[in-house]
Amino acid sequence: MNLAEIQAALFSLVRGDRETKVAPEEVVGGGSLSPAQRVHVYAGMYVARTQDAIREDFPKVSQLLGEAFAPTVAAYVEGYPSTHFSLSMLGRQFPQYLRETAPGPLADLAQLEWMHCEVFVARDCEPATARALAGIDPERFAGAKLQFIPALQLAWLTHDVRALWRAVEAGEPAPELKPGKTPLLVWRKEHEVFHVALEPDEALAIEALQRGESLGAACEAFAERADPAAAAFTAIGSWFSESMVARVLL
Amino acid sequence: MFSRVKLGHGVGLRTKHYAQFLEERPEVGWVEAISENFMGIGGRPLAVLEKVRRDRPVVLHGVGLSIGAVAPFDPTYLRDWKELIGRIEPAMVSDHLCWGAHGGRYVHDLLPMPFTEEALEHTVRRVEQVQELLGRQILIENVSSYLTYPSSTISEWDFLSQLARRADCGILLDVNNIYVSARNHGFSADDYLEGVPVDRVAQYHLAGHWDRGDLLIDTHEGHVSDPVWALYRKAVRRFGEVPTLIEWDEGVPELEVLLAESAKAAQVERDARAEQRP
Ligand SMILES: [Fe+2]
Repeated sequence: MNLAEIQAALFSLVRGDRETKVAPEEVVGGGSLSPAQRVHVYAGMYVARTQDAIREDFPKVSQLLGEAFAPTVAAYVEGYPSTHFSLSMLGRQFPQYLRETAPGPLADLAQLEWMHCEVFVARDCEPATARALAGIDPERFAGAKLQFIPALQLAWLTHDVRALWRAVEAGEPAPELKPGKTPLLVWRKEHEVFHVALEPDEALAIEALQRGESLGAACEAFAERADPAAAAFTAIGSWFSESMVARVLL
Repeated sequence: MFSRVKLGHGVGLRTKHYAQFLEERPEVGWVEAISENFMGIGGRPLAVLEKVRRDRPVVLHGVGLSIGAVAPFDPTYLRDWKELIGRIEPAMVSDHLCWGAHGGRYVHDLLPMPFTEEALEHTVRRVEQVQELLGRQILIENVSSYLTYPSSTISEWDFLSQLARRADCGILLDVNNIYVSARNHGFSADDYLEGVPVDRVAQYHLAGHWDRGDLLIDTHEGHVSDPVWALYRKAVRRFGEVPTLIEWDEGVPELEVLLAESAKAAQVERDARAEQRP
């Protein structure tokens, strides 16, 4: 066997791929332990390692899964093999996997946990202050664009899982959640990560800005409000005061 | 030619100790950081590493380069790694003699190499490629292993030594890994030490392992075992004073315990050096 053949065979044995066609004794030597036992050492560590990684990044979902945790992670890594060099990225498709196999609050909670993970280590960026807006000619204001910091993510979840998050954290029983589209914003201020539920119009305005639309166009999202201008003003002010804005582009 | 740096004794920078490291600025010669934990990121971890770096030397130690894999290097890995190295200016940069990627997938493990001419040739080229990209030498570390390949034709220490000479890189000698693999595969740890060229060894690792009876497992948990201390003493006598790291990654203890283990290594080193003198 050449190097490529050895690696292809052992890789598949360690991962426990169902389609593995090579027997351990074709790749690995024996001795006091059989080739199968030796491969098993690595395969067992692979299972433990992947479970530890998911447990670390999804502590709340892991806790709620209880006994189902181990088989769920095993099925996940089989269906979604790791394609990133860092083990810390293993969970990036776990919320998606849960959504496919068990749609509901658990998948939403997983997504929120993953957003926390990504936002916690997102690349740094000095936030802009509201002074950046103060200098803008009122006529050009509507045409200005905002860039948010890398450590900010917005997602429309199918349940408002904030109560579930709090309950798991407090060790209380999981509350019954009614389905309902909820935009959750996760961001980092200093080194701490926060999440908040947004009004749908504010979420639409942020998404418009993320797409590169102007403040004027984005703030059309507030048209249904009693005082759209005031609503837009309040929202924009809070984005700056919460250190969410990276730059104002004119 | 590999130029050694004298740093003394170091410990790993682990999340559990972040606050204490910043507040107490413990007396350690240097700090090891796992490269992948700081690549392509920002936030608190990177801020802590940068602060720690202001006080003392940092070495970057990787677990995900997969130097021995036939799979091509991930360009993102190389880019982020180089960026981090530029930012931290580490005293040393290292990864393992192993592979863990195949066909764009990862098992996040340090799988052993078959010790063949083909694998040696391949690994030499890969180390050269990396060193050229980084514009600096790297260290390659021996891993603990639980299997061997019937296709191997070279001893592990010969493979590692030839790699270091041909690719012109340094060797990170993990003394615990030598002990674990020697026991698992029935070779002599002394032969291993004797087989490695003195001028290439630029760092030692010490760690705890788990003796399962029929197999030794490298756990990086608990105190360094007595036979590993004994082997370390021999290593110091052969290779001299080389920067030494205590690896304790599972059941990470209080910082004081880790520092005491590192102080013990310093003592063992002093004793070994004293025995060496006539
Ligand atoms: Fe090591």
